[in-house]
Amino acid sequence: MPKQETERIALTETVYYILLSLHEPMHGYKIMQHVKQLSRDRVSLGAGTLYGAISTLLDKQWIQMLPNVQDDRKKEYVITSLGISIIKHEILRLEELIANGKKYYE
Amino acid sequence: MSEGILMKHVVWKWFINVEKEEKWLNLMADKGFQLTSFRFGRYVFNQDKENQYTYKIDLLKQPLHYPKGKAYLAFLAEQQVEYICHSMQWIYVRQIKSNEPFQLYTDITSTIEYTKRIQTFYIMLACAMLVIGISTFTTIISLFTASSSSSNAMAMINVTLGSILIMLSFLFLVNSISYSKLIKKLEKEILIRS
Repeated sequence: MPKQETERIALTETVYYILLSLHEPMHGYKIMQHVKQLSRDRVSLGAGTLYGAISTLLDKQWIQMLPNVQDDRKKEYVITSLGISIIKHEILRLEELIANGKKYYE
Repeated sequence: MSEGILMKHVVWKWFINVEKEEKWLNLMADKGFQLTSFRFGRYVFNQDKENQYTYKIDLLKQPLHYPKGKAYLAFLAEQQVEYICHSMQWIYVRQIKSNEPFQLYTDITSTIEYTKRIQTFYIMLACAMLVIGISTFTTIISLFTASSSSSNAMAMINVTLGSILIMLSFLFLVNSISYSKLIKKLEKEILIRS
C-alpha cells in the first residue's frame, strides 16, 4: 500500500462502519442492520448509499465479494488485508483526535 | 383525468420536479393507489389498501439494460426494495412501510452524487428543448415568406409549439439552478463534516 495513501485517508462514517462490519462475511442487508446496531440506531444506511460505497470499496480492493457457495442469491462481502491496514490507520488517526480533544476540552 | 374506478386507476400528470412527483406518489399510496407503471405522463395504479408502501424515485448512472443498471436493481432487491417501473434512466421503487423511514441516500457524498445526476439530466433536457424550440421558430421564417393561407396556419402552430418548448426549457433550467444551489450547500457541508 502506498505510504501517501494511508497518511491522507480520513474515512467517512459510512465507509468506517462498513469496513468494521465486514470483519466477517456479510450481505448488504446484514451490513445495514449491523451498522445500525453498532451505532445504537444513530447511523442508517440507505440502499443507494450502501451500493455506491460497496462498489467503491470493491474497486479499491478494500473489500472483496465472496464466491456464491450456497444457493442463496445474496452477495456476500468481506474485508481484505488492504482494508484491514486502512482501518487500523484510521483507528490510530481517531485515537489521536480523541486524545487531542480530551487534552483541550475535558 | 382518470379511467376506471375499480382496480386499475390511470392518471395523466406531468412533473418537472422529482421531489414533487415522489411526494404525490406517496400521497396516492396513502389513499390506497399503488403505482404499477409509468410512461410519458401516464401513471397506472392498482387499488391496494392492505399493504402500505413508501415510494422513491432514483436516477441511475447507466441505463437499466446495462450490467451496472441490472446489478443495482439486484442489489436493491436484496435490501427488500421493490422495483416497479422505469422511464429512461429514472426508476420507481418502493418498500413496505416500517418504523424506519425509507431512504436511498443517507450520507452527504452519495446525496451530492445523486443530486448532480438529476441536475445534469435537467440541464440536458433544457438544452434539447431549447434547440428544438429555436429550430421550430426558424422554420416560421420560411413559412411566412411562402405567404399562403396554409403556410400561415403552419407558422402559427410552429410559433405556439416553439414558444411552449422554449418556456419548458426555461423551467427546466430554473429547476437545474435550484439543484446547483443544493449541491453548493452540500459541498460546503462536506468541508466541515463527512
